[in-house]
Amino acid sequence: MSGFILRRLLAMIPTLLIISVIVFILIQLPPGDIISATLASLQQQGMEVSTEQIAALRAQYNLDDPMVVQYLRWITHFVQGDLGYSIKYQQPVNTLIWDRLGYTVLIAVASLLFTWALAIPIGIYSAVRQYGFGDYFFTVVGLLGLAIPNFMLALILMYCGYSWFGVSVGGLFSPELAEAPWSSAKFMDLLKHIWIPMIVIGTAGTASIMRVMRANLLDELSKPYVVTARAKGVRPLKLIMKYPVRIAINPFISTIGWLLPTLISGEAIVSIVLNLPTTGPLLLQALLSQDMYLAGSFIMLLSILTVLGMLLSDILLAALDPRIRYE
Amino acid sequence: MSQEQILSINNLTVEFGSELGTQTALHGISFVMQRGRTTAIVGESGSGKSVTAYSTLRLIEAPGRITAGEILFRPTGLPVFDILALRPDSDALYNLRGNQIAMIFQEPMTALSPVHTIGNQVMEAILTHRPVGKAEAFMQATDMLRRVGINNAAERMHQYPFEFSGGMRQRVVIAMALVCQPELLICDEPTTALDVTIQAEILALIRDLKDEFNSSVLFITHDLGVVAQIADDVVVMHQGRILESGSVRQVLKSPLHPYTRGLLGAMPGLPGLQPRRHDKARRLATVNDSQGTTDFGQHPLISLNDGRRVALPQAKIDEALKP
Amino acid sequence: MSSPQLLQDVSSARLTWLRFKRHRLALASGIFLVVIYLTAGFCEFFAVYEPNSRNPRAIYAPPQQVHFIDPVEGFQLRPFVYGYHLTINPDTWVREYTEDHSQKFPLQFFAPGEAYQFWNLFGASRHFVTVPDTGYLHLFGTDKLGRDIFSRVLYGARISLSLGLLGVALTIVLGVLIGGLAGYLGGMVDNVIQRTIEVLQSIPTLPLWMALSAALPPHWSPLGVYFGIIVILSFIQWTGLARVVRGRFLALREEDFVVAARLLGAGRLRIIFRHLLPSFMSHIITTATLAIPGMILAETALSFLGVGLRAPIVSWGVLLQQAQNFQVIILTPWLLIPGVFVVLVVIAFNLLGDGMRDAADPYGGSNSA
Repeated sequence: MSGFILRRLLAMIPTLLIISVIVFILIQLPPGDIISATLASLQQQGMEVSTEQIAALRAQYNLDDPMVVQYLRWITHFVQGDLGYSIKYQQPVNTLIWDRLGYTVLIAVASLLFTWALAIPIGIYSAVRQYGFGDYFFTVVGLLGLAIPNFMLALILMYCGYSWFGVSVGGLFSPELAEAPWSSAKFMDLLKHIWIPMIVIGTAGTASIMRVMRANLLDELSKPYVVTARAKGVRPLKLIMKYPVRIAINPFISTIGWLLPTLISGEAIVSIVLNLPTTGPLLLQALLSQDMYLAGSFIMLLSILTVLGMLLSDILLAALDPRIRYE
Repeated sequence: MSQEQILSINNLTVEFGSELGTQTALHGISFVMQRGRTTAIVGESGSGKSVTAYSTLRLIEAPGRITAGEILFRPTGLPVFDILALRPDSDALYNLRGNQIAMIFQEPMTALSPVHTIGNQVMEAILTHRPVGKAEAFMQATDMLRRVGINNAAERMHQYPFEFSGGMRQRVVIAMALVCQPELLICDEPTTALDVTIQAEILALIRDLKDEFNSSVLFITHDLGVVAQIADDVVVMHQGRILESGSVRQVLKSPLHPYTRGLLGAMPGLPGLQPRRHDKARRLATVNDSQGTTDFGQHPLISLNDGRRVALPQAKIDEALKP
Repeated sequence: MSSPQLLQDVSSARLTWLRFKRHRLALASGIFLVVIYLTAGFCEFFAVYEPNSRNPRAIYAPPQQVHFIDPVEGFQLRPFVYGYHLTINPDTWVREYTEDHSQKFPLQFFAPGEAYQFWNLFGASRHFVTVPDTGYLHLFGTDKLGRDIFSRVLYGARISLSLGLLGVALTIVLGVLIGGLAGYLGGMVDNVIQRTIEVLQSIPTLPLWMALSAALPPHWSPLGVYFGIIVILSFIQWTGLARVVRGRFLALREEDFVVAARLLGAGRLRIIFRHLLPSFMSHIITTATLAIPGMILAETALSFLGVGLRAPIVSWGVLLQQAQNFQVIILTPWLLIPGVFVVLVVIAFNLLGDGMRDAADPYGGSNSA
């Protein structure tokens, strides 16, 4: 098992390297360079910039070096924990990013749990009562969840929260607690706010996982070993709980891998609508103002998160399925 | 239904629905099984032999449907009942499955759950039907594995199917079926997926265990060689109908129906069993027949004095009976 | 078990169609999509106004109700709408519109209205429905500039729907080509492609899309941006299809009928196009159908955030951009109507794709009765 984990960890390295190249290309992609962007930003603030200053800036960022050298410098700094400098915010990216990343992870994990808690039982139910009323009902609800754009659902829920409970449901904290140190009150406040993004992000995933679960189960239910068990006189409910669910769980664990990018994507857009203090709004601001070091760092870190999630799902899968373990 | 009969299938009709209307898989077949004997159903793919086996345990699933008939079953010391009349969720049906009637399947590679241990799956049969604890179930299961010829049974209880060879898996499946000592064992082509040497071992094992447990066996196969080795009685099926039935000796030694003869003729060398050598043209015709170009069996079954039945007009029977 | 023999006599295409027809929802979805695509194709005719023409008398006006009953004349066959009566709430400064019963605009069908250029090919002025030019018709209300939402939804449909189709077409080409290469050649090529797919799939899509479309040069023409977005969306989406195609190729390569074809001396290309592709064409079409809504949703999200399509292009995402915050929903909920169309189209594509998948699966047909 430890050999397996080690192998997977080693396999991550080239993946992350290629991602870093893609991200670096992204950073370089917008027309103009960091200097012209800085200049524009400084001029906006009404500052005069002399040619000497420009030259100094160019030297500071080593923009005259070849691309490869620039990339190597960027990635070395990145690995050492120096994520670059945000032009828009005039701060190191490091000071901007970590809190927000933490909330992103929190919301993504909460949504994942919400998705599972909803999708597994419904998927099982739909498979067992195939073509029953409940099956159709959940299929329709699932389809709606799939079809309503995340941001619209967020807007609608905000509207409901506002008109039914009279509370402003944007943000993750009430204004008076946002800057306060952690306390039980602040935690409770977080719980009061996190459910909207959790539901919104989770709903889209629920629909697809529900259907994956249902399809997997139906597939498994027709397998010979299930017929064997039926011939043994095992009752339907026990049959379903013991055999197919156990096997359908496997592809399910692997959903962590592909669900995570979806969740993080969903998180980004929902956070923008709900104005949550996560990576999404900052990423959008960075992109809109072409603050590419900030944007690049975000995308790189989100990718690392995803790759780690996939690794985790691989390990869980190996722990669950003896065939992989004994490989 | 007499005491000696354990199973009596009467007018069993099974239909399968599809986009193009209903297809009949079994056209009202009838036959009886004698207690303590092995009855083989022989036929090609699509002849309805597996459907018959699945019907007996009520394992036919949509789009398949049993539309008519009865399957009378008489367990020792208990009154006769019609399996088809049981309610789908009745205790009697679940007691029937695995306890009174057990089944062995064709594919040992897929008939076992890949993610549960062998022990878990064999014990499941005991725990479902016997009021015993886990420790006792473990003992019984281990014992059963030993009896089907698995060494280090206690150790292998904890292993997964993928750690077993095909032949060994089939032994596990047999152990699983017999662990509750059913009165009737249905074997659905249990040796088809195995290679020849293992086949012989498994057949011998089924024969021995049948005697040991005093069970009756319904043996589904397409292989007349296997029939000759294991069965007492034979039912020949083709496209959902019975064409001929009788004792092994009668049917294999002097088949009456041209289809049975064709089957025998199409089989490579079984010295002593082949009644008449057919010329090449005849054998080719058999292959055509099997694809349905000739419609056998529209004729009702006629019972002969010696106990066999055949679906032929009387004139043809007389002709065939001539020495 | 016995298989019905009649089935042998029916071609697989016919069988697929028979199975598909049984899925009434899928059939209905298919018809709905054909209708809405046709409407989008002829949106100049079906729209009442040009997408950017403004009605200064109706800023943030709610949808007009279509009436059949006149208080004076009673029921009349020709439907009509009332004009707006505007009051501004002195406390909140909110515009409040009520029906002005003194202004009555009868609906006219196939009548001349605002002039337009059909597909930039020829000028015309006939509309499916319009009102006399003294009046105005806003079935879905208007936005902050007094533009007709109904007309804009139709024009937006042309952009959003065609973008989905084109994006998926490009995705199929990329996916089949690359996945097929990986699956058929195997070895080194397969390894490289596999790795690339893995990498691309582990970058969260939306941030990557956002970054790529934010990087589109601002001086590009609207049409350039439109195609840029299509390329960006396909650039990520092909990976899923390529994976499927590769897997199928790998499995099929060892199938008996392919081995048989090879032994009979069939060339590589012949094997690919004559034997491999047809055997999973239905699968590709189904996957593509299910991918179209993803494209449409992605465009909507990107445009909503302001990094996708930009005005003057009208797409459903661009229209929804006006509904950025929930005050808008409280005051002018009709701005969300384009979203309703997004939802309907996405559901329709999903139902259609599901029906097609069930119908095309030669072994699943009986299961889906």
